[in-house]
Amino acid sequence: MSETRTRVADHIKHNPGVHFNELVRALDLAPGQVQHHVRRLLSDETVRRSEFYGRTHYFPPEFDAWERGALALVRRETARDILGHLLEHGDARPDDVADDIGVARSTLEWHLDHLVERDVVRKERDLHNRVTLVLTHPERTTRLLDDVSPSLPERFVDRFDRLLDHLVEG
Amino acid sequence: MEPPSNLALVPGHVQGSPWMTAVVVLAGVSSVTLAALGVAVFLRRRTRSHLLVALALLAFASRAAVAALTLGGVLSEFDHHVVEHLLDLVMAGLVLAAIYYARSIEREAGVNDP
Repeated sequence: MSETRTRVADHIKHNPGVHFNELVRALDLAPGQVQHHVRRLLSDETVRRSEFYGRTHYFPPEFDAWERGALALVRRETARDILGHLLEHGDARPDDVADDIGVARSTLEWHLDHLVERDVVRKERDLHNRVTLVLTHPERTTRLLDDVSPSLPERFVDRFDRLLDHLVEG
Repeated sequence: MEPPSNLALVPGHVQGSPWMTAVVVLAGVSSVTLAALGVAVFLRRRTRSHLLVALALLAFASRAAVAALTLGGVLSEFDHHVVEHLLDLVMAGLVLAAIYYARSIEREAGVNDP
């Protein structure tokens, strides 16, 4: 394997779920170069790819479908805050989570939609149709939270999103 | 303030100075960053309010372009003022519209559901 291809493979191994632009930025290579090496790594199955929300993410082969979906979400700061709250305090009502982490309900719901869709969080309803949020796989979620942290641009987009929701909801 | 030292580089009718250029460049970089954030958040959330905020921020970022065109001598001082005030009007209108439609974000999120 060429030296560059080893670098690309190593970066994906150490940053599971990294997306294409980030790979180009971090390795300081031309996009065409990255594309070429990634294609080779995909064809010999050293690397896997999944598409989430319009972005292509790359993973080491040992990550299963659940982990790949969850990883795309734990790179979002607010989603991490929600998961952190549930890990620390156990099952919780959406209002309490929104209050505790300081986000508007619309921000919370948008993130919950994706967390539920990827089976990271479950919404359980009682007889009065009141929702409780429950982590589907607490231990695996903790491991994933440790594995990745959001990049600076990702943090900025997330915080701007929170700010806008706060402004319009008062 | 000291008179600008490199007048030869700037067209005669513009009271430009290196300071002015620096301010325009900084304003340009920060407002384009802000507009990029607005667009990124719109692409995520895809609501009408987020679109309007992104457009308002793009209008804001284009003020820096207008300033650059004026410093470069493409726009006259008069045109510059007309365009900048028009952009103000556009921005205010877009933000007001974003606030008007904000209620639908809450409805979509089921904020007032049981």
